[in-house]
Amino acid sequence: MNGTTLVPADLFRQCRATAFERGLEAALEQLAAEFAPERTVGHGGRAMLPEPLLARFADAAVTGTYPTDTGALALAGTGLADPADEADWSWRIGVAWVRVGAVERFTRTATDRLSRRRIGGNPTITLPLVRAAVGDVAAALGQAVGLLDAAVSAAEPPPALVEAEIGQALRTSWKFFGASGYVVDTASDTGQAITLLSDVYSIGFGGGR
Amino acid sequence: MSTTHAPEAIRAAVSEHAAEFRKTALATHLGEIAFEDVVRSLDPAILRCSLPPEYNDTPLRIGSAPLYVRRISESVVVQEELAWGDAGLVLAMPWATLATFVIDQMARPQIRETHYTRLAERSEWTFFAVTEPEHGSDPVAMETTIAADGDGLVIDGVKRYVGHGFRGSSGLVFCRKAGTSGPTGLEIAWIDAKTPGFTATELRTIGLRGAGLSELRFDGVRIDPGDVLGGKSSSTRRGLFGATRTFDMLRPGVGAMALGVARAAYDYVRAERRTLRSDEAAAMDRFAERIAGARALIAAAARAVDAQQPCGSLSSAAKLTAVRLAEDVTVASLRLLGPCARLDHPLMDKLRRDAQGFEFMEGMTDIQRQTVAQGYLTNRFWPAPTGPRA
Repeated sequence: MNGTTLVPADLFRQCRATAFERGLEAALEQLAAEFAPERTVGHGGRAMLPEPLLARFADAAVTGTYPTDTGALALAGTGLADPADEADWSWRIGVAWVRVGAVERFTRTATDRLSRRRIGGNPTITLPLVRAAVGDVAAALGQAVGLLDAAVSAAEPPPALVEAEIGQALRTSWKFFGASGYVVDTASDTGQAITLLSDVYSIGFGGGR
Repeated sequence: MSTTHAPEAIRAAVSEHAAEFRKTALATHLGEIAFEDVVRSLDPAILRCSLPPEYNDTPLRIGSAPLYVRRISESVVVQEELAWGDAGLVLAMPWATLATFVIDQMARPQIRETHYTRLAERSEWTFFAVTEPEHGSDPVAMETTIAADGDGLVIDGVKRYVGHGFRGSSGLVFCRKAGTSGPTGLEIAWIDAKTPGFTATELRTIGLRGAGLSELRFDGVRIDPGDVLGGKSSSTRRGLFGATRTFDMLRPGVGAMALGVARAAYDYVRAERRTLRSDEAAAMDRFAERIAGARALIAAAARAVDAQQPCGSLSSAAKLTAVRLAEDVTVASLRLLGPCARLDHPLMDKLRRDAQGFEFMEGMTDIQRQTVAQGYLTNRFWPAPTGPRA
């Protein structure tokens, strides 16, 4: 890979853990510490980061703020070139690790809620179909982690399947919140932020113009 | 019952209205225009389209024949077409309420008269309050109570995720007779929203914003005993019975709206991506087949409802199939439109958000799967009669 930012593989794994334990902002700050600002740009010259990190750009124009369960991310146009054009995928791979941790955190919040709620007198989390869906989430995330690990070992970008698996896990977990996850609130805000982060920093994309 | 119209004739009669719906779809979603204002500006023919003939002097027309959208098999075609334009606006229509179906089946004549007069003359909204904050729509756990108090009845409790709740001038509330437990002892009561003790707060949603989801509070709301629906029926023929039958009737409509959103996303991608790679073209062809399949299943379920056959499992299958399709098509569409499609194609972002919402209407997918399985295993899955094909 030309112009690749070299990042210790363990850092990616640490960022995943940080996203799970402390949320998106802390994990992105940890990851961004290893990158020059211009290397944190995504598709179309956009960046989606905790707002203090946008100060590292000379001309960041904030176009939106997206709350999460632990703070907020800001979306900005940077006017800079997309580093993926130079085949530098490191930042995006790191963000994929962060998103895995964020979805794990999101899922834990959802399953904790299902443990408290009851249907027919039993905790919702004990229902077989609910547990099967939790298993689907775990399997999807497991596959994503496996692909990301393999990519780190091979020093190559992972396949676009990583995006599909993380996205599927997020959508399934989102449904665990029921209608409450459809109301604008912490859960839906966080889900939207993770979704948009994947749009801005997707690794592979099947479409085109 | 009025003349039977072929689905394609109904589709053609509604398509211009669907195009009108599309014109305001993004502005209402973004809060730039109020749904209520758009609704009140609509052609009366569409504003009253599902009202009974005696309350509708401006029906839709197919040629010279009036179209009163009273059959579910007609309603699903109208809902699919209009949802192609804007599913949010479909849900903002005063006739888009579960309450109408229950009132038709169970209410005394005076309540029905009040309901339809308000709809026809003032386009007023009606809510149907079932879901509770901590228990969803689990009837066993329902906590909103109705209790005798002097010569009247008093309702206490909280409902959440109720469509039209904050804009409704009246509505139905599902409640439990004080001192009962389990699925029996449930009642449906009609209330006027001006009754002291009733308050409603809008809940902002990520999509389908025309639904007007709300939280309703009942703090000592007094009603007349005659306002309990089906009051002279046996306890097994009211309450939960009414809600179950209503959900069975309405699921094909939810499926139809999801199908309309799926079609809208499909058409959007076709318009934006004139050339596709072979794998992308194959995926789109597969979606076209699934759209046809979902439409056929919805039509079969609707015919079963119209024939008053047991239709719960077929209705569930229709909703389940269409909701999955809407999710798959909208997710794939965003991918096909390229990076940051949510930001660069705001209508597509809205369609994706709308598609997410159908999951929570009239029972989630896992519930539908179980209902379908139960119907299939007990040989009650295929009651659909033959009739006009979609």
